[in-house]
Amino acid sequence: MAETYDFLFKFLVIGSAGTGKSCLLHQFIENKFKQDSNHTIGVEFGSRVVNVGGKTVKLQIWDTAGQERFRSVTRSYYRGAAGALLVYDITSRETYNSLAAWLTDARTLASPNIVVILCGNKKDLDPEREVTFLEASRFAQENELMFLETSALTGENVEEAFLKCARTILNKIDSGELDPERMGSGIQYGDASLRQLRQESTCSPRPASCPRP
Amino acid sequence: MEYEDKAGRPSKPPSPKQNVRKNLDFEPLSTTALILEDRPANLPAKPAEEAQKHRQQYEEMVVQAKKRELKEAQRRKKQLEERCRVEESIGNAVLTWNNEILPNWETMWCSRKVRDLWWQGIPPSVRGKVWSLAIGNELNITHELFDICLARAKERWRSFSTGGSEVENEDAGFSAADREASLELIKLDISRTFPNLCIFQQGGPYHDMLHSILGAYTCYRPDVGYMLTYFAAFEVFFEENLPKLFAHFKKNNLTPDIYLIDWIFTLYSKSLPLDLACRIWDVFCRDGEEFLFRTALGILKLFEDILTKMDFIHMAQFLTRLPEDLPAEELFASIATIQMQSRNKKWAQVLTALQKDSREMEKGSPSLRH
Repeated sequence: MAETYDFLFKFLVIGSAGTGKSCLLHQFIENKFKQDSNHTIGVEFGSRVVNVGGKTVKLQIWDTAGQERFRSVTRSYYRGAAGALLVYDITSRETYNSLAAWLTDARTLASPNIVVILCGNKKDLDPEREVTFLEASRFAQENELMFLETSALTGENVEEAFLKCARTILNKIDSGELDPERMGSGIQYGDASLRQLRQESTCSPRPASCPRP
Repeated sequence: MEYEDKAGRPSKPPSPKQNVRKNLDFEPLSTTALILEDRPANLPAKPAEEAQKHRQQYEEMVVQAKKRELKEAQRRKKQLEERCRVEESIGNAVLTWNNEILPNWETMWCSRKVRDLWWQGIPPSVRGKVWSLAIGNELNITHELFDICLARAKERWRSFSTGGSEVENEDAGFSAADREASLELIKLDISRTFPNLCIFQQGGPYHDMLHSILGAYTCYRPDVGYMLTYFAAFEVFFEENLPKLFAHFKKNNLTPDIYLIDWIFTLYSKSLPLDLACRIWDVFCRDGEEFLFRTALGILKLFEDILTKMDFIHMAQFLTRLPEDLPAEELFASIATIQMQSRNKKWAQVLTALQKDSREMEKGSPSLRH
């Protein structure tokens, strides 16, 4: 179980029921499409170590239930998430219409700084499309979200979505916009970066800034 | 010896019937294909010494193979005996349920003997009867009420499919919960109910029935209760029964909402194999909701040693995806050791006390209501 990584990010996958959240996660972790996908009741988990901009990052992904009836419980999973994939189904306007509500939940319950990427899933079902790319990208722009259309079936843009979100978080850490040491940031130092920090502190001792994961 | 015959010295051939018998009794199955042949006639014959050596090696091979197959046959026989034993005990149980218990349900159902038999698992053929007797009909739901609810559901589906999703908003009187009852979501629900059994899917034998029940139920939805209070009550018994594991969970911020919802909401039908889930439902019908939480503690106890060695993500993944070959007997033995009593208070008492607390705390903030 000994893994080394520089950072651990807590990620959420949120959005209405049946938009393919679990399939996106499955595709990202297993590189396969999940055929007879069950409901997610509550939450399921995935984790993967990725390489982003020279850093190794462990993504701890919380794949939440989309159904309204679980909303009151799934809200408790948001706490301390650093990033989120906000998923809708391009063939269902209803799932698109509820995006604003999901986004409000993410920003109020996780953190106002949470990095969110909007994913228009089921890109492979283009003939049945109910939401245009243009419309969704306008929504993304207005709400300061990144945006990709994805297909959990073919795998198109799935990896990109997760990596893009992770990269943005890393950039924000570098620029100082995000502070990993703040409580509930959803970011933890991994073994690798702890070692590095320890080395740095022996070179130039700064006793006040000893990070605790 | 057989191989000598095959080698071309047909000494008085045995009758075919005898031959078959002989094969069945003495000749291990796979070694009937193992035949020692002399060299083809167009090649020089083996020296006697070599032929002797080969014969010896051959015989050793046959002996080994026979030994293996004998062992395998014994294993199979044992397995068969075990199965016969199980089948016989199921058969006996069926008789007991049908002839003794069911006709005297009112007087017998809470007796020690019946409770014990119940714990062993109800035979599938009487399961339906026992469940419906045990569940009863406290809500006094009549066929008429069911039909009314179903008619209302159908009405609602129709208005959704014609009115279109454009106009549906809070003003039109559709809450989020109403939307949940919409045809689309029930369809989604059904398509994901035991997808690999194929009995509830479109075209499957129980598709329409499940569809109707779900529709009618959403129009007759009683209060589901305060889920969060259940978690709090669960934690009381968790700490009482498994203090070490409880501390480990606390340290890792692993809260019951992470794994318990998935188990409880589906009555374990999603997290356990169906036959094992059915046995849980057997006792759930006997003991009520308390047993669902007792089962949860039984599962945690069964895997306590593994879990205490894991970190957050591994525990979370393990608990939301339990091993597929979870052994029924071991699980039930583990559940049996769980005490549903905390400082002389039973589950229902603990729950009621917590519910009272939370109601007082939440006056004016109904958001936690499920």
